[in-house]
Amino acid sequence: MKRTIRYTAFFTFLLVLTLNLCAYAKTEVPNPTDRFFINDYANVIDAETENYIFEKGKDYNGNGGPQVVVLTLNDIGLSSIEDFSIETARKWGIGSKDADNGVLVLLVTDSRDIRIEVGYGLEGVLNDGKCGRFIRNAVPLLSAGDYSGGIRKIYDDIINELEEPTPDEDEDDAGAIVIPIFILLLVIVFSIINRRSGHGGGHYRGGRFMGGGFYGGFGGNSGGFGGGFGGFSGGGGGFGGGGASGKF
Amino acid sequence: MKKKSIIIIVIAVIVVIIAALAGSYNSLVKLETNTDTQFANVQVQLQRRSDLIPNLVNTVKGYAAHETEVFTAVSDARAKLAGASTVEEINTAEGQMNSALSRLLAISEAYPELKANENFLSLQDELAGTENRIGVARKDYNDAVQSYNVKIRSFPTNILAGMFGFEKKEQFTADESAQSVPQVNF
Repeated sequence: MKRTIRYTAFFTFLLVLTLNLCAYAKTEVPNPTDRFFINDYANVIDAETENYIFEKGKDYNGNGGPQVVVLTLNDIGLSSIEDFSIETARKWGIGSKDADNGVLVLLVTDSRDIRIEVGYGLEGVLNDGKCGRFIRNAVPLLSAGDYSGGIRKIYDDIINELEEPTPDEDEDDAGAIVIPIFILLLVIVFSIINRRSGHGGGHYRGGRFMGGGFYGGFGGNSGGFGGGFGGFSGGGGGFGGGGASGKF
Repeated sequence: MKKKSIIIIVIAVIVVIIAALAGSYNSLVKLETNTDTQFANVQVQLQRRSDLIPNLVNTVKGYAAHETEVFTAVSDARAKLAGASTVEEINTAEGQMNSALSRLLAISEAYPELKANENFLSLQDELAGTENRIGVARKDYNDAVQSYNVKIRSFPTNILAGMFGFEKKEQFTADESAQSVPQVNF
């Protein structure tokens, strides 16, 4: 009798312990993979898309451009996707510390949640309305189970927006267009002067990169190339909860 | 000779004490400034949402002009939030704002054309994004206040804090509606 009670108590204890561990273990932010830009923990993205995202991420990293990171997970326990994504983005330090130019695309398969988390420095270019539109555009693919296609669509939409920002739909004052053109002209003039003085020869420095129409990437900071050979990491970019979430 | 060395020792001890005091005083100042910065952040985001609301209301009005009661509730809440400056005032005004906004958004359910309007969708995204920013800013503020409050109450900095009038700061609390059991949809 005594023994049964002891056994029951022991197993109850074990059960409670396991349940607790389950509840906590799932909400913990994972560590990035050594490919950093693509972290397919849910195993739903095909190799081609993964390589595409990785190669693109590597290129931008070398140029000091924004870091766009993709993370897929099966589930995130009890936390909301907003809490989980900002915690991940901050912990990984996506983007450079100076430009705060990080973006995290988080997909959770079990709860069918998707979120684009945008760093401080890119909130102007990738505003919430645009992020919401990217998500809505990809939802049909994601709902049909085509995760590779859906993620690829969101990723390309983000990259296109970063390379060639479209003006806001509801922004109708001319100043909004004149100012970027003015900045662009200034940048071109400066890069010519720079090149003349033999300063930027062959190197992708801030000025020339901006000339290509890239927002947020100036400053010439490499966004935190992670020291070791072949390893990438974040540069400590800041996040304040910008972006959009959706269901699929 | 003996006297001289005693004086030197006394001076050295005083210097060490002053250095230690200055160090912890400076860290108190740093922590307090940090809470102020985070509080300003919360206000920036609240302002941002406040600026979004007229656009949102006008878009909804275009489709549902007769829902005047909801529009009044939203503008009342907006005015109240604009006048709020302390943590407590913001807390209550924000609860009112949230309920008014959710009523405004609920209107869209009855108007399919509004629900499909690209401008409305985009405003809704902006609003959701701003709500999230407010949440993040509130949490960052609470974290900053926590480390500040712990510092001013622990020994020996509490003596300094008392001398220079560093006071305990208030944290944001979850409003009642957020404490109710969340709805689960499967």
